[in-house]
Amino acid sequence: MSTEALDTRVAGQRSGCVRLVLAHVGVVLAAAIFIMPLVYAFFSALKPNTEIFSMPPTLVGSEVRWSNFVDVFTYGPFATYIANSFFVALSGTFVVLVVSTTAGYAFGRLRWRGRDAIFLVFLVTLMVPQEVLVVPMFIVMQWFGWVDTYQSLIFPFAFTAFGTFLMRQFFRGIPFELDEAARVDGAGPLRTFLQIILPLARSAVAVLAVFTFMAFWNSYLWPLITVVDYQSHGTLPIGLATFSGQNGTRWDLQMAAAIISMVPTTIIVIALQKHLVKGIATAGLGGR
Amino acid sequence: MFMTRQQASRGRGRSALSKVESRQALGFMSPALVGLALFTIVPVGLSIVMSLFHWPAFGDRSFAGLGNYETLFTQSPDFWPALRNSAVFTLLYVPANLVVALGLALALGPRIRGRGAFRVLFFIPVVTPIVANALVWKMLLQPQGLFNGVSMTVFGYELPNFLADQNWAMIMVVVMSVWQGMGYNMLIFSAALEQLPAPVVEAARIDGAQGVRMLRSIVLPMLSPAIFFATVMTVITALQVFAQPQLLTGGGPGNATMPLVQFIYNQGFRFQDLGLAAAAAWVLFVLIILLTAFQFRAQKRWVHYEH
Amino acid sequence: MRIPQAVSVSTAALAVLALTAACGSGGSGSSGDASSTIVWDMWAGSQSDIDALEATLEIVRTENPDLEVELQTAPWNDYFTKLTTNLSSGNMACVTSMNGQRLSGYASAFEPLTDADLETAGIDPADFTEGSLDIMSYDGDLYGIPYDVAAMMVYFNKDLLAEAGTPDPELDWTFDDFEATAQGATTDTHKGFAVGMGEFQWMALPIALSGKQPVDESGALALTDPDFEAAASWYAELVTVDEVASPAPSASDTGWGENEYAAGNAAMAVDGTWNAVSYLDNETGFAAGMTNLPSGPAGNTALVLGSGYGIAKDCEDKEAALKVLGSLVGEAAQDEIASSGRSYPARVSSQPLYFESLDESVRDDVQAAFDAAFANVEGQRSTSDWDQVNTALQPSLVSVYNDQATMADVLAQVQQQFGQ
Repeated sequence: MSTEALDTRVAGQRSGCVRLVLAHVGVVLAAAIFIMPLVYAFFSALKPNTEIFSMPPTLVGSEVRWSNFVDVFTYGPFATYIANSFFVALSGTFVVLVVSTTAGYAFGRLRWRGRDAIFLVFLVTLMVPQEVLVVPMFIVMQWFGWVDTYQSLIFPFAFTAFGTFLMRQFFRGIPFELDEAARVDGAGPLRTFLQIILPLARSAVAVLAVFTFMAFWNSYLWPLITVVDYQSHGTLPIGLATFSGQNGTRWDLQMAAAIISMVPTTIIVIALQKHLVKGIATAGLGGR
Repeated sequence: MFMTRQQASRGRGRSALSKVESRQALGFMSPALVGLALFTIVPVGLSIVMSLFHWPAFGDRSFAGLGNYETLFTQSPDFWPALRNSAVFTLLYVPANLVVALGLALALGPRIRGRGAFRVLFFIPVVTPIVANALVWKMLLQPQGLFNGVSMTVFGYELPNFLADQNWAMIMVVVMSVWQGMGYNMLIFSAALEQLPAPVVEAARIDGAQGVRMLRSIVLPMLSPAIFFATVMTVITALQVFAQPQLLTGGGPGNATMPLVQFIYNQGFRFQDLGLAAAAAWVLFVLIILLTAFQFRAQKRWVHYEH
Repeated sequence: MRIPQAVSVSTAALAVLALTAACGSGGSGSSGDASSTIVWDMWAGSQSDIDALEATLEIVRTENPDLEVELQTAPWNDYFTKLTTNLSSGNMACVTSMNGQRLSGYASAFEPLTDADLETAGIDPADFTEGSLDIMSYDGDLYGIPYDVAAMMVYFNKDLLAEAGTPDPELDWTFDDFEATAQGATTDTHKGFAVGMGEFQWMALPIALSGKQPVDESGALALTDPDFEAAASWYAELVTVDEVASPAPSASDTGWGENEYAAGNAAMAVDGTWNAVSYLDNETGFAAGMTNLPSGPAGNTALVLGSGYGIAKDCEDKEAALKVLGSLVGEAAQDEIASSGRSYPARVSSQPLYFESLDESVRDDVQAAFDAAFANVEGQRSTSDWDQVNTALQPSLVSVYNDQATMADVLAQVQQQFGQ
């Protein structure tokens, strides 16, 4: 190796080092700008309502009012909204996981007549937006006597094809020899599914669970329509809007409520972050 | 012994085996099928029927044929603007979302310390309730809010009244939506980047491919399946946008930010014309199908699959 | 072995569905299931609203021990959307609260009340403020009994006015006085007035100035009436030309003017009597006052507004519903509403209690303002799609306030859309 080549190499390393520092600075800066709205919202939640809009803007008000986070619960049935949101999101996630893994298994690993045709139907329904269906869905709820019930919040949109699609993609990536071996051992498809395939799909299930929980937790349009009695079946998103009523907007409480509503999903994402990236990668969302 | 049993089971023939498997499959499928029938097929059918009727929220229904569609395209003062707004939103939102998401995914390379934490950070707005996010942004965008406050005190320049200005309102809805939704695509791209086969990247690097050239000739083609997937999904979500304009601008000023879904909601639940709402929903549906089909046809030109 | 497994998966799944379906039909809060349960549907936002309604509900239950009565609520902003959704599925609550201005659009869903019905409910129309039954009447039929009467008022921030050295508005003032006050109170830090986005929060002043309602005497929409249009344009110019009020920042800010006033950013705003107590009881953190709308060249024109309760047309147990209705507007319930200061009751005998609920320092002022406001009110006229007219108007008002459209154009456009 000539000295000239060695020199350029060292120079390259040095510029790479500078570049790495710059990259870190850029990323930190982008992250700071990106998260600023939420940080400011958090500090606004600690201000008295009259100081939310001040010129010049301040981060911390004249006093730090942690009591806003308590007042949220006395201003409206906020505890009920939270409990309902949790119940609906957890139940909905459970239903989605059961339905998606079983159907995904049938589509991904069993051979049967009409499989591809029916899968196509599933794929087409993937494109039917919830928004197209809310009007007739409400009539369907009426037929079932489900209006203003937890079931109407849980079931109608728990059968969307997204989960089935995701699980099918993932299951197809698992070597088929495993099924064969299990069959030889005398395991039926249910046992194969529960004991062999499902455990292998943990990260995909985690991804599906996170996205489903989040979709239920954040759902706005459908609860807005199907919930009639806010006191008993109201969920967080529709409850958040009740802080602007006839007596003006309580920005302080609204921000406190918004921050509270962000906590559970944020915790879940932090807890499951490894699964999330891995799951997305292995589930073949990269387009298969 | 073992061999013969396996051979025997194979010898039973494909038809018998597939019959058994079909029955098993039906067992696994039934929850999904029942749910799909009740909660998708039936409502879709019902919405076709509804779109053909004069279907007030209450009172007498009557068959209207294609009357609702005719009203939409020739009489309704808000339908064409709603279509236009949906198109504008999609055209602004999808590229912005993809570029920012891809840029961040690339920036958060393996050499960035704490990239996992950064990823979670950028992903947070995706998982927090969209209502909460919109309310936060609404506070920031008030004339006395943070943005204008900073601009006034630091630069002495008064920013436009963002959510009330005909042009700025849509831009702000897009900006807020990109902020909120971009993290999802970023994760998809990050995952895809991690899957890039190391030998290929290394080989390209040894060949002297760097920077932009590396990106254009190696990384982007290899990411194209992920980009395709993200594009398809993002276009669909863009056409479904509702909560952001509903909470930020109320569709206003005038109808400057009212997208199709808000038009449907207003017609059905505020103007009490469910038939017209169902018809508009069908237009939206057809639009989504056509756009998605078009993208699948066009993918051959730019998406590179390995196998 | 394999087949039973597959079957068991599917049966288990179906059983889950069936079970939930079964428990679903039992838990429905609609009027359809149990004829003995009467559902009362009412708007309420905060916990204090709900507590007040619960207190009223207790009275109803005590007076009707044999009836099951349940309360269901939705916030004001969503209430009519919710009602529409319920109506579309035949799910309307037996006793449904209705706002007088919106009755015309929902009249067909309510049961017209006959004299015999009133007798069953134990209601004597003579007990209610003169003209108040008109609030709940449409096209000659009575569709409900009012629980409150209301009028639009001008609320002012005494602290801001004193700071700017502008005298407080007085009863029976004129529009010249109004403009002078608004201009006098406008400073670098706050505005003299805050424009409204809600229907009467903004329309009250144009109506008072022009002496014309946006619906003519034949019941047709008359947004483009030259006098009303001129007055509405004057109103918009308070923002765009006189700059005594700031423009609304978003069409989703339906309570813009009231919020600005309550936050202490504007010295005056127009709002209904229903908010008098919350403004005057110093909840806002400043000394507040109220007076009636200024009188214009055509004299003093104010509308009597209000809300009440009606019976759903498809209610299965009409008699029970009527009894609940009777209790809801009965003496005990009306006394309760009045003494809590939440609404100015429609029942004459309960009205004095309302003023007694107020702080002594403002009691006389309020009573004088109420007397002036109700002195010569006229009934509010509306069209069957009044709610939609306002829904269509609201987002365009933002454009007007921000000087991107003229009031005349907006009114003409909505008139064309709904005027037929």
